[in-house]
Amino acid sequence: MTLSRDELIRYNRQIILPDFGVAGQERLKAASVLIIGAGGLGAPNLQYLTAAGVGRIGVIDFDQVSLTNLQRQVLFNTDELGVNKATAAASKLKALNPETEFEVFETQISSENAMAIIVDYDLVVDGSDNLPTRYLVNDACLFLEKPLIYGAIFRFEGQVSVFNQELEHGSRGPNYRDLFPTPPPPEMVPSCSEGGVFGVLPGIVGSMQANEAIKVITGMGTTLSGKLLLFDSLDFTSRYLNIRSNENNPVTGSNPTITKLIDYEAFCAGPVIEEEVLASLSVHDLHADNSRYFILDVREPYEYDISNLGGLNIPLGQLKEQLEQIPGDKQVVVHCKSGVRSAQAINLLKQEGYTNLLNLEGGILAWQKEIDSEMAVY
Amino acid sequence: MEGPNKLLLEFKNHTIVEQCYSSLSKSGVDEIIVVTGRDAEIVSGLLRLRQQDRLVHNADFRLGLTTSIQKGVKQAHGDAFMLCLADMPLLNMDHYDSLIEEFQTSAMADQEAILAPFVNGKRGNPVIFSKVHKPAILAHNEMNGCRSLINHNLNHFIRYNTEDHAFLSDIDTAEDYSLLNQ
Repeated sequence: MTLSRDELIRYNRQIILPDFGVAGQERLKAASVLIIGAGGLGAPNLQYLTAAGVGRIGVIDFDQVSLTNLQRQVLFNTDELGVNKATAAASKLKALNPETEFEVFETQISSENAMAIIVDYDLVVDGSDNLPTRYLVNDACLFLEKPLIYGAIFRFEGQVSVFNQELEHGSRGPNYRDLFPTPPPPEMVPSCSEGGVFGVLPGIVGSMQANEAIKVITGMGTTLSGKLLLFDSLDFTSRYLNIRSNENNPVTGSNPTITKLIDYEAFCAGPVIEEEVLASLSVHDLHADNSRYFILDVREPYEYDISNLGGLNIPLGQLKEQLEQIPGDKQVVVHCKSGVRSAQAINLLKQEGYTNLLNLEGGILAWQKEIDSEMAVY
Repeated sequence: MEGPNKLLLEFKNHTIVEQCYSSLSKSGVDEIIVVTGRDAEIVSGLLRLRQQDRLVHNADFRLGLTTSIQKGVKQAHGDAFMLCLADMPLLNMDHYDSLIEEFQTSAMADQEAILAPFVNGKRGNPVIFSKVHKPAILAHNEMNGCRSLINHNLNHFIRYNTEDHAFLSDIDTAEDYSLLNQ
């Protein structure tokens, strides 16, 4: 794929690099990359891969820009709140590099559409923020034999690797399921909204992913295939762990049990154990007759200050010290932001002998969505 | 999906992790750094730490033992550190103290000493490393422990030979646990 005069000028600073050259640039121009998620990790990937001259970039995101995104998702402006992220990202990037062709998917990647979307790309970058998508994208890349650039962030720490890269002798490097054949219990996986994230971290980790993507496409250097990079932004240290192919890998191991895409939401939710199902209440039932219930909000006080349902606020970590404030003779509706912490609170209170507890389904997010769209969310 | 957390199983009227901490806190170690992973909130709630001891959470614990060792060692400041597994409740204060005493004697002759218990020729735990090995432990990149570090330092490696099977008795299976309670 030949380069125009303008392209030779635009990409001059990398074309003159040893080992990169016109050949490297032509490989980038001929390449197609799908970026899953246009959020914190997606932003630097999109910016650097566009700027570097990748020929075709797909971006998939179902979500809209919200105020809490702007602390780290640096592609978006305050006046874009409510706009689909994939669309907002593509419009910015077209201005950055008109040589790159963009495909926008305003949808959630799913078991139904993943194969059809991914098959059209040479390489996939995972910028997602949840386990079902991570397993789905990994498995789809395995079935379609596509290399996958993995990135993950939590609070102050990040991880990067290259999965399923074709190696010199024709075999493929390790993948996400060699690290984690099965997901952890859902309560062990706080999201950015539950666990928090340091704003510059996705910028660093996403840039590392873009670095690896360019190396995979151009064939330069040594990639992170077979290695997991662990980065700690608080003490600014990084280290590697070797990843080995795991014979118990359910897709690529010696006895594969997964031969096509599955229901990843159910897979990551784990088995339903009847006796552990929590009694719950919908936001509509609470709205219909809230006088029947004592509302207990187990979020942090600063979250309560943003929006609340008027209940008693005791953060999850202080529940045990403040049991005397929780009645035993009235139905207590426990809620948090989305339902994860309230479920933990109910399990804790059950151990203390409470039998009058209901978990508010979907927490304050469901209330905002179903009952009060004016309520501030975060 | 994962089964019940073995550290929270009952042992002598409390849990296995409490038993381990209790034994260590009575021994001669200056400071205990407890590295939590799974069920961190429950574990930290169970332990009544002494003033000099600390809890450190390893968010990457599913990546294997090495990441937890590195989290703890990163915080360690002593002349040596003992890597203790929390699923060895049969080890008591005397077991830990005997290893420490042997290590201190050995370290006078070799400042790079590494010491491990051996029961009938089989290596057990815990292992004590001189502080000089800290950078190598932090840079170690195999996921399941520091065995290869020992292999690279055999000239500094000291065997503490014993016939006491407590040094081998970790809990990996339900059978191990049922044997423990007999």
